Amino acid sequence: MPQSKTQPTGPSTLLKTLETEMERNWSAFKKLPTPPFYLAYEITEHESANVSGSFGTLVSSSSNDKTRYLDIDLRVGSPTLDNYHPVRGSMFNMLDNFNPVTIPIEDDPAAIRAAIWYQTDQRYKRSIEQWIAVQTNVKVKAENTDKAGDFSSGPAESFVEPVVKLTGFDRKVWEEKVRRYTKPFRRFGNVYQAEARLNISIETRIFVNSEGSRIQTSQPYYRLGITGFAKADDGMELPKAEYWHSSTMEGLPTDEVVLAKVDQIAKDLMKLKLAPVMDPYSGPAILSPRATGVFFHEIFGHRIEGQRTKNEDDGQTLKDKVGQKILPEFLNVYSDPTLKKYGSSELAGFYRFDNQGIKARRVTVVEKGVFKNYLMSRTPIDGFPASNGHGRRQAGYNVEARQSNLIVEATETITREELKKKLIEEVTKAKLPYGLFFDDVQGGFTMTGRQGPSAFTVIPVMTYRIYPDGREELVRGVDLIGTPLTTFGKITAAANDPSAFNGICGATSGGVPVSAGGPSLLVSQVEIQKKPKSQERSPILPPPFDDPNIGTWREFIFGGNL
Amino acid sequence: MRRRSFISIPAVAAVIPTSLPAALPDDTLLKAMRDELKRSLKKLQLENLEKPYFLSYRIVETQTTGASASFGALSSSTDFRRRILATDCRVGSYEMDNTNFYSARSAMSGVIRVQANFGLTLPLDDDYDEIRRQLWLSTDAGYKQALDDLAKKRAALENRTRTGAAIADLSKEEKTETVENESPSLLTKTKSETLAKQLSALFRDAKGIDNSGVRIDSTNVLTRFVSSEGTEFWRNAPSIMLNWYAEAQAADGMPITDVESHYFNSANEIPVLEDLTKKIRAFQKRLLDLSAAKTLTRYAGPVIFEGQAAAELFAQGFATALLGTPRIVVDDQRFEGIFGANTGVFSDKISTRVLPSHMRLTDDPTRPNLAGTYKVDEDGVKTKPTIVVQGGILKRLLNTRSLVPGVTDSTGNRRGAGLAPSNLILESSKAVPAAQLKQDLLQIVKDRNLEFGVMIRKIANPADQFAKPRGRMVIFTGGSAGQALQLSPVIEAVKVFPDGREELLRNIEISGFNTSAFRDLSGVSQETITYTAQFRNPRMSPLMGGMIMQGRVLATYIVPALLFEDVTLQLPAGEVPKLPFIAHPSFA
Repeated sequence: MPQSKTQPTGPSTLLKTLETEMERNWSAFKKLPTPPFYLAYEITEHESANVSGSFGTLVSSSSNDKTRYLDIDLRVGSPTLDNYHPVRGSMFNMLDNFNPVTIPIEDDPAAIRAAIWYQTDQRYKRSIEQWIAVQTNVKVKAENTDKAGDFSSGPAESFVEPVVKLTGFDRKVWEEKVRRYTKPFRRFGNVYQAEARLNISIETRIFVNSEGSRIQTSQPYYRLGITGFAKADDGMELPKAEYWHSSTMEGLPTDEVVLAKVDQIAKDLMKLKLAPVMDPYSGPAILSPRATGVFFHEIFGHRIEGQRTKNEDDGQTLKDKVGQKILPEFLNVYSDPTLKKYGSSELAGFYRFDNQGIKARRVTVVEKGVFKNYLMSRTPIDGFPASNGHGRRQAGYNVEARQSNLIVEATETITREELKKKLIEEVTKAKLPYGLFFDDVQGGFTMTGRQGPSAFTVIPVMTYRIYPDGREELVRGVDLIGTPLTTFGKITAAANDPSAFNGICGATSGGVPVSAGGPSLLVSQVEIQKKPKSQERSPILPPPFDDPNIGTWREFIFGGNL
Repeated sequence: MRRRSFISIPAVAAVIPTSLPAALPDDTLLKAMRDELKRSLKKLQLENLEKPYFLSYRIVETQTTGASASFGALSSSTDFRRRILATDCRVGSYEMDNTNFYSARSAMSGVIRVQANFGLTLPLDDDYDEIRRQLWLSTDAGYKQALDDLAKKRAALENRTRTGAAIADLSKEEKTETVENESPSLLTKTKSETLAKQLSALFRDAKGIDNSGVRIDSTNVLTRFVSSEGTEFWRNAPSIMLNWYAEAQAADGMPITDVESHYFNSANEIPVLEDLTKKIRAFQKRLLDLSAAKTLTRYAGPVIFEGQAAAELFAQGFATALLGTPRIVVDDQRFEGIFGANTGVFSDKISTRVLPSHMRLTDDPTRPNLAGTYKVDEDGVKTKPTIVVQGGILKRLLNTRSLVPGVTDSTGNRRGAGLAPSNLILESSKAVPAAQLKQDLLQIVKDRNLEFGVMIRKIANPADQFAKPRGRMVIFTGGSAGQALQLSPVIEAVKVFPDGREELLRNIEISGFNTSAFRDLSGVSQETITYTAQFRNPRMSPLMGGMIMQGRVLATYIVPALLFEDVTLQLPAGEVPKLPFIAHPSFA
């Protein structure tokens, strides 16, 4: 049964209403003493459904939830210097960066126009205040290093996509599914949290601006996640999760696939409980494709977001590296928001237009190891005067240059087995007892500012020691750390096993869906440190219910009779 | 059975049929709570450390439907249900336990790292095993936290001598078993949406009003409570809130905003559309009249607070002073100032005069058909009327089982997230008719050779301010003097001239007013208002054990008009936003 349908092609009532109010306000603004030079309206509508379950029971359930946010970009001054220019030395710049405004969720032109009018008036008054502050700030502070101005022009785009509606979603069916997906965890008294969560969100964005753009896009996101959480006897917290993303309900996995993964998560949690704790280590390691994706998204991806370098406090790691080799020659990196699929995976970072009305396009970031391009919003930086369609935001935030689908591509590859052999060679050569294989990672973070070290942390979940004889041993309690440029230089080989993962990236312009992908990589030297450990001991009393399976989890993972 | 009275409507309530089971229902959750409580009391002990001496579980199940609309179109629509578990685990003794203590070094506890008394989300299914699993984990977290806190509290007191008489951390109360089982009659999501749209559409022809909205929220809070003392209760508490807000600007740019909230116990009590329409039309007219009214730069002289303004002033300026909050032990002297000052405005005023000698104040949760009516409080303490002020003398403060100096029992005022009054009834043996009170005001005007006196008829309610979305900057500077109360802005007031003529005033704030002004009240009226509003405790301590969000706390105030001889009123200071640069699209 189809789970979503589209309304007839053509501009929606909402788009026509936005155009009407844009036209009225823009012509009225021209008569004011300080007229804006640019005005854009973006309405972001989310129609969503969410169902979650835990240990075989329903925890929450909702459907037909609808929200609409209005974002207004109103610029006074000139493209060279405008009210969005960062005010240096101000502690509360972030207050202007987040301004969520809700508007009616029905297509009632009078009600929507009233809301737009009211908010535009507020926004214009605030823009004038910002503009006065900016003009003084640039005079009293040191000269900006970046001379590229504050805003780049864009073409007038016209694109109208049918609005997708969530129909046919059977909440009762999914309430049963989340119960079924989490019921297997009940047999473990030592799994303390287990959740299955379905999030459906249809994001419809309507954009108009004073340059004549009128854009309507509608994109469904279906996301199913299974998470489990246990603790080792020493108190270490052990999370394990699996997520699926699709643009259709049919693209989500079957019950058999999900239940097999639930079984695997439970097994992994029990194995992790028994796994030895790693000591700090420095030596060669293999990153799985998933680890490669997180590694590049966090360590590399945030440093190629061009708008960051405008900030005088940014570390600007790659600022002087354009045209220089920063990765091995066999690696290319590109960001492609027009990519819907990578291998068998649908990509969450797909979009047709960014949040500034600029058409999405593929950007070659690194070619044969040489750094070529930043990801650009309409905020220009020296050497990159125009947007390349990467101005993104969560509704309510100001736009920043952000990642979309970041893909690492290797032009020379070997098999996974050969990569393992190479790792063992490096281990033997360095006379180390073992190398490492980072199979699954939970996430990571990086600091790009100058106030702290330009370092990164990737948080592995499943890490294996690989011994010279090829044996693999699961370990726990490690974080992968390092500094970007040094680590990039130590990538020595890639496997022919590329794949991608999806997630929500949270940064200065809010949470946006992203994807990252690539092959397994061999890094000649990584550094790991012990991860922070919870000091909370396991429960004093055993679980309250008399489950005959409690206490038999060792058999469960080692082939017992469960 | 209770009735949440409708503002300005005589307390003639529709009677809602209720079914009151004779005993606590046969309920899967109650069974799980009892069973896990029993097991924990018997077996829960970490090595040779103390076992819990008190344990309680509270499961708060909230069912909410609601809608908001603006200018005739839906803005949001809600329909959700959730269950939250709060565990109160205490070690030590009634005299001294782990509570009433703050450590800057405390963190969340237990394998799932929760603050057990703040709440843990529970499944919606009545699944005995799974509910017990969550009770088990929450109890474990609460017990470990309690042990940790008690040790830290004892250490903090090791080198200090506590002054004054010892005050127990938990009062000993009679065991109760209670069922409050009002059959909830709430609005469906569809009906809420329809009504919100219909009412908000009334603003489509209200030229001069820039921003407006209507919100309806129907909530039933089902609370299940079980304690180690044998106290149990099972209570449905339905509540419907209907409010509307609007915003205009005076010609000088001053924002004029107002919110009107109404509370009902049942969908049957909501007035018919025609009556609601009349109320909204009156609301619109008042707002537009206010935007054309005159301002008052500064005034010092006699003021009558009447109707809603009397009740709201009493709620903000006096009721909050009645809350007896226990003194908190801290393990870091740097926090002493924060929590030492948290014991209540009247904490040192027992046996002193706080009202004129002809006045009495009673907190009465047993008075039927009011918003603050309940059989037992959130601790399961049986309610009774409490005479707070008699002959103008403060007799005692309102408190929960966390005690304050001079008392050994709870007044049964633990409500929602903490301590709150129930139904406060202010009475006088020397009340005069309202017309006489106005004459008394004018006599003072004449005696002082003033041009006019002032009558205040509406003051903003602090909780209502959250009912409207963020609008224009509100110009409000608040009280001025050191100990002055931060009272909400005056919405509606009039100048009263010696010939009885009235002239509308706008944008007024009350300056330098404090609680002691009630002691010198110059007069009160015989007529009273029965006013229901959300209660907000400005001194809410984050340390009241077992607090979780569980819907709004409504209090009812039965208050006469109040005449004060000296009140200072002023125009708010600050910058005034300019008028809109472009005309409203519907009124252009």
